[in-house]
Amino acid sequence: MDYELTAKNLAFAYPHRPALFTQAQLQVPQGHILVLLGPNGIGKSTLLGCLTGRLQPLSGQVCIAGVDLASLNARQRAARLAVVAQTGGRGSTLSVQDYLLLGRVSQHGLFGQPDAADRQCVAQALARVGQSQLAPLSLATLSGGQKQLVMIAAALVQAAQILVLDEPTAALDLKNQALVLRLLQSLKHDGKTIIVTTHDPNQATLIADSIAILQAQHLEQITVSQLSAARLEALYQTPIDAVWHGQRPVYLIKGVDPS
Amino acid sequence: MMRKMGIALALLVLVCGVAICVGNYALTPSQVLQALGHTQTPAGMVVALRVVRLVAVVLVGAGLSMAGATYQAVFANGLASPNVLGVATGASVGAAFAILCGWPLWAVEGCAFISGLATVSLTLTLSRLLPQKQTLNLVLAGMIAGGLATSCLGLIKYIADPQDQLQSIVFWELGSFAKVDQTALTVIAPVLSLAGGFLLAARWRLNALTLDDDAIVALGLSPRANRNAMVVAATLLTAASVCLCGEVGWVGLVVPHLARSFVGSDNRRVLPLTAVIGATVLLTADTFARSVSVNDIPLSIITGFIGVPVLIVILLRRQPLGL
Repeated sequence: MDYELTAKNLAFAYPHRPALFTQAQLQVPQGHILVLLGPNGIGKSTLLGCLTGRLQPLSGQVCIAGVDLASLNARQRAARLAVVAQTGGRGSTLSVQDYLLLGRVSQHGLFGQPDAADRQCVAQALARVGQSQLAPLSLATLSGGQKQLVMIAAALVQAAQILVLDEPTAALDLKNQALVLRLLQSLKHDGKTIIVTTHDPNQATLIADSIAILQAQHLEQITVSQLSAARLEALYQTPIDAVWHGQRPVYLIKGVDPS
Repeated sequence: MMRKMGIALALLVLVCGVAICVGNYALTPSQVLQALGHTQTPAGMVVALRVVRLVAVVLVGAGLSMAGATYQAVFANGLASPNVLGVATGASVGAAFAILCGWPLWAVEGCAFISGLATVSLTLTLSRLLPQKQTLNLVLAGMIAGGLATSCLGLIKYIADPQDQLQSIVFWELGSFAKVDQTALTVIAPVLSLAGGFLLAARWRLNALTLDDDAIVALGLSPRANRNAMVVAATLLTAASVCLCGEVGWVGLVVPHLARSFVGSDNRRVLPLTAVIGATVLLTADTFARSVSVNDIPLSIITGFIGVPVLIVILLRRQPLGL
């Protein structure tokens, strides 16, 4: 099955508020990474909510492999699509291993218990994000960066073909940012369809196959080569410069002088 | 985990042995063994009565503790318990009403369950209506719903016949196993066993229900259907316990925290250990209640004296009321 994700004519507004986006279109083929860019508060997380079925759009349709997302129940959705939210695992004091096992809970009945295959799947996911040593620790004791990596492992345990990640590198140091970016590239080569939001356009140019820009209620999907300093200046309303590192542009904030 | 469970089970067996032997008619272990099956002898009759009472206490202790652990997981709130949520008092209203009407035991049980479920629904609705979203909301809502239930109970007691019904209601409101007999146990034990068995079998899913709704949906589960199933089972446990022995405080609140302090937050381990510790604690309390004086001391008095210091120690030692 070809796990392509498409969105047609999506619109969403919270009650008594102006629309965050209208007529939004997206196409993310299997084995591609789409990076969603947009300033704070513009509606990126809301758009992800509509793409994952967490929020009901006012109009439009989201399809996975040609099947309308609205026609799938929660279990069918979880089998196709895994979400890494910014607030994942908040407040939980479960151990990392026990938390990750929950990624398999819908594959068992109401009275099911995790088996050896589930535990092996958890061990593999933790090894893939390089955090096997965290397995026995409580989620409440992890740093922000460790927790983020565990949340990505949780999405891997779910074994869904589509991964949606909301700012997965936001709380990470440079080493762990590199680990996550390499991991996303590796998962893409495994055939996963990936949608990720970030505030760092340089990360977008590193990993994206295409970029979606959300601005003024309008969603535009462009190629990586179409991204430019001028587009970013218009998007973030701040001066941005591009310097070239080989064939790749590196975007820098202008107007902040060293003190 | 297996070692801790083994120790807890050994302790429960030990307390069971003590409970059979001690009381106003003290027996040695050899006398108990000789009396087993000889219900015509005085010792045999005492042992038979104590076995019935022991089974009831173990089932109720395990049931109330598992109900507390379930409420705490489902509402992601370490302060939730059958008493704090008002469920126990709510169940008492239904049961007292059935006693007032002179209905049979199965009707008392049914009324206790319905009024218990209605109270937990009222508590949940009120907590969601409160403007600020905080842990304390559930407790405040429980106080309001429990207050309403207390007033209803007061009204029933005011109407009740003081010669017969009032005594029965008041005695039962304080919590005691003194009036438990084989007939009551035969009706209630299957309910406690089924509801408790359901929660034990579904305990892995309780872990998922400690997360927020979006996370539960992302895992492929329905938050509402799963929470409702667990709340119904926990309320059934509470209502059946109330039918058997009246209101017993503290066990449902404190014992789950005690179990977590030994095995962590995973409900796959917490629920079985909670059941065993709950049974042991309540059996200890009941044995004390019927041994130190000719008349039984109401159980809620003893569980209060045990529960308060234990809760203080737990709060001082670990993350406050975490799950």
